[in-house]
Amino acid sequence: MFNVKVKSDVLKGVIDVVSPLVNEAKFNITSKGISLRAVDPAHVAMVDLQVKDKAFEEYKANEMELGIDMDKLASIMRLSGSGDIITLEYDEDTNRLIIKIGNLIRKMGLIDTAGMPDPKMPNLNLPAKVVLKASELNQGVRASEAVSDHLALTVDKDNFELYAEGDTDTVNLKLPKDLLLELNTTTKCKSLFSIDYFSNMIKPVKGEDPITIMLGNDNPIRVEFNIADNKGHVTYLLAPRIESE
Amino acid sequence: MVDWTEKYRPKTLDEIVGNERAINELRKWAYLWKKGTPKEKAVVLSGKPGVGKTSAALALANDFKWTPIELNASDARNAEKIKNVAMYGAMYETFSEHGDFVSSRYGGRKLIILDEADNLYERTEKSTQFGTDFSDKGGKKAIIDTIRVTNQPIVLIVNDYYGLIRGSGEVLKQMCKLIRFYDPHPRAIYSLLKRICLSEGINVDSKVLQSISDRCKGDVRSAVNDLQSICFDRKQVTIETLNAIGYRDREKDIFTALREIFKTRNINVIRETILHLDVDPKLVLLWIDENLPREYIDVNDLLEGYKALSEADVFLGRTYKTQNYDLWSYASDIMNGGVALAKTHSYPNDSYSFPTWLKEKKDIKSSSVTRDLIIKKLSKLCHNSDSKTRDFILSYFINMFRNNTSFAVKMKKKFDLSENEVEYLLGKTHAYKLKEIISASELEDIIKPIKEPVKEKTTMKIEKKDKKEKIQQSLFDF
Repeated sequence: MFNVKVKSDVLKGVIDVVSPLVNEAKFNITSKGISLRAVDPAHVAMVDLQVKDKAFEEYKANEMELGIDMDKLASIMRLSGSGDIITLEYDEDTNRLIIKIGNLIRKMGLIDTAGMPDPKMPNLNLPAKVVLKASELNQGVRASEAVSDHLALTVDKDNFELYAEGDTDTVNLKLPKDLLLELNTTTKCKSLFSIDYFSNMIKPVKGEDPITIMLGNDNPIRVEFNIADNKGHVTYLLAPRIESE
Repeated sequence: MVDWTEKYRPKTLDEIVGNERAINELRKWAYLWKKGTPKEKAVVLSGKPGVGKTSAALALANDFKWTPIELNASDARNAEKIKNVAMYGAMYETFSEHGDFVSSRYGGRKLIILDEADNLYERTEKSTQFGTDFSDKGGKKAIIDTIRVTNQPIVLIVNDYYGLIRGSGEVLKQMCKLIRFYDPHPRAIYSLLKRICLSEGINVDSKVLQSISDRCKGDVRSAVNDLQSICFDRKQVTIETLNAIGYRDREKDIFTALREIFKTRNINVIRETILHLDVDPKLVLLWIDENLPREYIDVNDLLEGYKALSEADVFLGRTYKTQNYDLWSYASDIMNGGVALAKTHSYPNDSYSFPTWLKEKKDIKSSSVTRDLIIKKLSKLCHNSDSKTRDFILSYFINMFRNNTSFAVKMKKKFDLSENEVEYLLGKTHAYKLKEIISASELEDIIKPIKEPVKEKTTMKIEKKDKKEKIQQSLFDF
């Protein structure tokens, strides 16, 4: 059984987190909330999403899996306005999800989840931890987009630094410790990442909300933040660029 | 029901049937990646369907603990998709399907597999929209770009190697290592089938397995499929069951049929071959018509041959007129038997060619599609029917288009004519203008915005010229 009521903005937030990485997603439903973990088709990034039942207006569910076509769900959600309350209901007989937006009823066929993997979170050695406001990071990433397709992130004991280099232009964003909410590292860490992926990962975080970043040397980056009024939590992992020898 | 071809897909390279040399080469290439990025970052596996190319690629990934990323024909594979999956996959480190992360420095790589790489560029949304082929060359370019930047191993799988390296794919020849897959020996296929029967607990007569492995012509996948279909719901399969369910004969190709018609005089053999040949008699007739004069050098033989052929054609004509397909067998027998018996010598010829008539018809067809597209555009503007445009307007339009370059440039813009359409309008006689028109229309796009503010100050002379052009083109100006 899955029968919930949710604010349109919360559901849209979930879509913003998942759809840049995967088109077909398997949501694990329990009585305590929903979760998802998936690797993108290029095997470069991973997402882990947890949304507690408290994030919903009403929540009634048993343990089950929902296979959802994210593009389809996104286009359905475009029909709803901000502030709408959406009803989601699983129809077991037809294997469809019934979505009610106001007086509109939209039934959506679900994807077979058999064979969709359940990846685990890898254990990574990431010595550096930075917490900063989304707006600070956003500016640097937006500037880098115009210059290159990848950027370097560096953390040492005093600074967090973002650097992108194109054929002729460069972008540098240096944030000293006192501008950050937290900076903690034992060694200097540096890795290169795809700007496309990275900018999609921080896009769901708005304005002054904090983002937690964990970094290692030529290791994946771990990006964490909360959604749905702190009742949902997102962890992204992004693999670094291979630096040719 | 589980598909046996998936269930028994080889897990490691050692399990691949036949092709030891190719497998060794593949393994050698993979070892190079342990020491860093080798010079040839991609391999092309080329061979007939079902010989084990995809299996080899997947087994390789499994043997080396690489994460396979597969892009095959069932995915939409345009340039963007290739870029998004293959290119990003190629430049960045890997999470495995189960969420492990191993840096490439410690051997954690991904294997990017582009299946059916010889025919991925034709499948674009555009090409289905108009029923014509505006094939997107972007796919090939995206593959080349991906191989240029990759730090991960790439496997391209093709049936037709020349389809891949044709045209813009030329550079792939130098960038990729070619590994050819050949037909595995029937003996090797036989032992594979035997192994499958043992593990499924089905008792199958060895004669049946022999017959399947002989007839599959190296296509291991189809052999396994055939085995599964005859074993369906049975625990015991003997040669009688095989005959009873009418095991299908592998398709014979047109060349075998032609050879039998031209070389032998045994009508029964020819009938048998034609029966299994999945080709319309009308097409067989064209093939014989094309190759008869190359084969029968003796004039009398040739005459007799064509007599039989024309008689058969009469029957074919009646078939289509009356829609009575029973007549096909007469046509077929008169044609094949008649031609076979017409010869009094044996001839040394051994190469047969595709009917010229069909080839030329194909060309005409593609140009008539282009013409229809142009006519549609013209009719819409002139508010009359397509046939009226074709009969009364098109010829004048073509004439003006050929003789007045500035008109042509303007019309190209107005109707948004593609390069193909411009080429058609110009024909062979004025083809030299093609470049001029296209570059001029591109130039206009750039210059126009700059020119606009200056227009008021231009001299009378230019204005006059403008007017003159307008008078000439008034028909198409509304």
